[in-house]
Amino acid sequence: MTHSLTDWLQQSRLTVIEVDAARRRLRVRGEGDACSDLSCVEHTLVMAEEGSGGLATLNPGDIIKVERGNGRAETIVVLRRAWEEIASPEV
Amino acid sequence: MSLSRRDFLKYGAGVAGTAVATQGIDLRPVEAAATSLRIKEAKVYPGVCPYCAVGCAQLIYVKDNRIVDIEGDPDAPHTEGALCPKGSSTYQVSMNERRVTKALYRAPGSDKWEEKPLDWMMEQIAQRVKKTRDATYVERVKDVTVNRCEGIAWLGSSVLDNEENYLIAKLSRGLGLVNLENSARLCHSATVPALGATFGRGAMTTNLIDVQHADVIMPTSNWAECHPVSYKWVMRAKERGAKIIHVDPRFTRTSATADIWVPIRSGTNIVFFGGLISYAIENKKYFHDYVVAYTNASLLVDPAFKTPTDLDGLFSGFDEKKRAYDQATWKFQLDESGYPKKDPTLRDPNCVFQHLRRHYARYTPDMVERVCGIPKDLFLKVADMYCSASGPDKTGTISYALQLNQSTNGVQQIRSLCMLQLVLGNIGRPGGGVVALRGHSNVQGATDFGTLYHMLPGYPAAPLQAAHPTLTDYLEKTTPKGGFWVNNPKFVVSLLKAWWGPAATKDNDFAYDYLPKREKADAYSHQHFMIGMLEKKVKGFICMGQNPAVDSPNAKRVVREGLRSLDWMVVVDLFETDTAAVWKEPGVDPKSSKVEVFFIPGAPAAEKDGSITNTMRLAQWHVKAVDPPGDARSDAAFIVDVGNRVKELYKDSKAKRDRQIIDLVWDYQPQGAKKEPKMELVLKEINGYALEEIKDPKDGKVLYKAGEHLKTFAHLRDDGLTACGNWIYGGIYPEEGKNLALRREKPKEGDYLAHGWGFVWPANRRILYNRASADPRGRPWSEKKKLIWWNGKEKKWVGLDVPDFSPVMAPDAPRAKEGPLKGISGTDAFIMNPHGLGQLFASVVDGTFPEHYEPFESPTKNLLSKVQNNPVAKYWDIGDLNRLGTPDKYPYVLTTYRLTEHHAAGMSRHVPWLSELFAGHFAEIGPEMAKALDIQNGDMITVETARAKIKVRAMVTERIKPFVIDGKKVYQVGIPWHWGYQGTMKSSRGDVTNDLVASLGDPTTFIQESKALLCNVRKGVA
Repeated sequence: MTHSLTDWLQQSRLTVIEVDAARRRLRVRGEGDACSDLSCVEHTLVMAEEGSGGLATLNPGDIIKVERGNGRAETIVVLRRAWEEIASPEV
Repeated sequence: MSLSRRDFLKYGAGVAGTAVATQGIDLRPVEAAATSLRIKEAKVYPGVCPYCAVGCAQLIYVKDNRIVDIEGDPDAPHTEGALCPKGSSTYQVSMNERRVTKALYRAPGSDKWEEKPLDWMMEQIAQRVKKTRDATYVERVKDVTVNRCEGIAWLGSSVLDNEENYLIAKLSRGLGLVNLENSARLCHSATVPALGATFGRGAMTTNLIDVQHADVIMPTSNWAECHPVSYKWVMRAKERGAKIIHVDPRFTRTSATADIWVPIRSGTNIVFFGGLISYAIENKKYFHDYVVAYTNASLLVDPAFKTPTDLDGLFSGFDEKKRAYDQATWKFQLDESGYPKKDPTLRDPNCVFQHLRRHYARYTPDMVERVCGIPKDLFLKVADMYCSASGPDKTGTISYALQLNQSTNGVQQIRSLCMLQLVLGNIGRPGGGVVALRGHSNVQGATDFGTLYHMLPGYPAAPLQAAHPTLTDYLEKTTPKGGFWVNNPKFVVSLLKAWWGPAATKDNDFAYDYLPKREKADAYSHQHFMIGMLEKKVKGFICMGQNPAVDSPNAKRVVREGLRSLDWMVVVDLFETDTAAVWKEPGVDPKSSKVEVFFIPGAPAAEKDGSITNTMRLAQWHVKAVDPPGDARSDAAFIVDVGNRVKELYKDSKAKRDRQIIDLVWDYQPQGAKKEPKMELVLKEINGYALEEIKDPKDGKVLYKAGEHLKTFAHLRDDGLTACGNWIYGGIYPEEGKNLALRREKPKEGDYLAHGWGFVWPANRRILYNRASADPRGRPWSEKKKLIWWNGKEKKWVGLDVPDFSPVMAPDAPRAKEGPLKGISGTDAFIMNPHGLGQLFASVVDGTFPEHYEPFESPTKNLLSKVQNNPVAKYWDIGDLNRLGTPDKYPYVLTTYRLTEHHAAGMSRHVPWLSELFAGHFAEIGPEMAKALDIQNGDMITVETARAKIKVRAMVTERIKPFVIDGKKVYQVGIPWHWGYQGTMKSSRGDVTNDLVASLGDPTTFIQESKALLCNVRKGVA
């Protein structure tokens, strides 16, 4: 089934719920509000506008997308920070 | 047949429907009754006043292609036929011997204008645009296509029509321009992020007519004089028993109607409103059930978050080196499903409500007295009176204008009153709301249509090169996860299709590369590009219906010098404005300025078709009543003509970067000798239409044939099947021949919000967030304050307004997991916000809650913290051109304002009926200060700031009183800012007040600080 761009956007992005950097685990909310756990590899990179880093740079509430390799999260791209969700939706 | 004058007018207006109005109305049948009237045998056309944003509907009477009279339309529900002095003199805007009717050319270094053929002028302009674009274009930065031109600035206009602003936005982006603004930047730009961050939309929440239902009204501007016709609703409320509290540094006619006048030192509104918030909370005057249900008061904030109470004036995350905040702690704690945790008891120390309480606990009545100069007893009286207008049976309205906007804390000053309204439960309810009083006729529309550097029509962001290199990046980063803005891809793709049509395909990301990408957020605003002219980075300038030589901050040293430093400038206007004449300003040798000037005569609203959106989001269409004189034509004709000529110059180019303009869809069917475009074609594009046949995926039924108008923005698509120039105006023109902006239907009985008059965006909803007028179960909070409510039998929202909510979402509906209202439940009244709640806690670049900082020029230390000024505000470091004054040299507080009889830009000073009402430029000072300086009423005086000095006449008046600030007496000076060196008579010419103003900006919008300066005053002008 072909998704619309709007649907794809909502489904491809995840909301970070919890970050456990020590255990390299992320709990996220995705499509249809379903929550799941992501396990990350040691070299998982978190890329954000201000630079790249590890899982500790993520915040609950951040909006991310995951670029996978070998079934485990390898690159996490931060799309919107948690605080951007409470900024003016009209610029 | 016997008709009264009133009946006669009613007849004329009553038949002003779509078809008839465009043809004019033949009044001969009532000739017998009209023999004594000037308007005998006249045809009448629907008009809209071109001055302020009350949007007074007018009737324009025409005989022999000449306007013979302009009057207020008695059927207009929001103005009831009234006009102020400016509106009453609209006749002289058109019928004025000072109108420029020929195209004028000023060669570089010349001391005179030359008349030139319009065709020659237009061709020269097109060539200058191309030459400068080619010379300053940036196609790529590293590996990002940016397609921008920084060498040209275009100042669109808050006095032009919606359609004209749309055309400017489209053509300028099609040329790659990033320096794009209108006067809204300088007057109301702080409004959008303030209201947007709090409520979800950056527009006035209510409707002027509804003000009559308020129990208390608190104007914080000079409403009675600056927006006089709409003040009738305040007086109507007073007649019904409402109280009026006027908060203003000066005693004005608004004060004279008020129950209480509250004198406040300019620039200290956050302390006043913060004090009221604290009073409401500590005295349990807030609307508890509303606050719990409809605001984010109960949400739990990250425990690491700190406020200025904890950090002596700063929020957590301040980076001294960058002078910016890392907002990592400005967020909520989440529950196991990823939504913010709540404490509905509001007791958790980390909940928003408790943070708010602690934050404003410092804003005590004593502090209000020391900082604002408002005596404590007076403040307490006001606090009790205003905060008592809360709860199921009562509401209060607050209005504001530029006293709050024009500040280095502009956004937060406005946000502080918005938060007070949320705390008191005054949003979305009859008699409640925030009344944003816009100064120019179409500030709202020009903003909606994106003649602003930072946004596109309908409020999507103008893309940035680093963050948004591709359409995917752009949508992923600018689209929230919840609230109605999840539909952003539909708005943006439909806009790209409206602009680049067949060239915008799925395969090329709908021509997203064609959109110019900004280098950074801190660039391209009005003040930025005026300094860019001085620095010769901006070389060409198109100025339409605006007068920056007089209207802009630091007008002498930055703006007029900048204008004279340009290579070329185009001015489109009715009169020879100060901007057009900048090369011959008194005291300037014309030879010293090499700017080449093209003056193109324009047309006022009475001489063209188009719509204007007033301050309450009401779009009204005006119909061309007469032809513009001589070479004059509509601004739309100019824009379309420039576009066609520039496209012609590029048509053979093989350069990839030129596809941006070559592929721009630009067919508006210019008609006649003056090539006037068909404005309803523009309106159709704005409204949206189907590009191909669209079928309902459920049953295969055809929803739209190709080319059909869309009925609502809900039908927009993100697959390229729809084109839409501005989604928020979706539905304004739902079918051919049905232009809803042109509707002038008298209200049906019970329809006090007059839904048949014009079109209010969005979707003709007259009061925003009206879901909050009912309790969480969908019942009116009270019979007295009912607006919409849930009808359980019919399973829909019903009532006195169009629901600003899903019409069929039940109050007990759970949070939507998908769809156009993703994340919104049946109680979420603020549907544009991701959590569906009014945001007491919000992310604004200078803090989550408004915090007081002193103006950059202040007579006192900040008494609330060690942080003197807004730590992230913009100061332009341009050396001696932007020096700041200190109280030892400049001991008086200076505030600026405007008058009923004059206006901004270049109109009123060219209208004799208005100009003769004042003897000349003046400054108001109090008797005590005048005595100390040996100044008599009427003396010429010099007012000086660290930037400039001006000569004005002293008006010594009791209306201007000193303040006692932290125990020390501080005197203030008030100066209106209308004057300049152009004008119809001596009394309308004078020094430029904005020469006194510094180059400073609010950190979010870069609006200037015009209301709180320091000055010195002396007798004489030597």
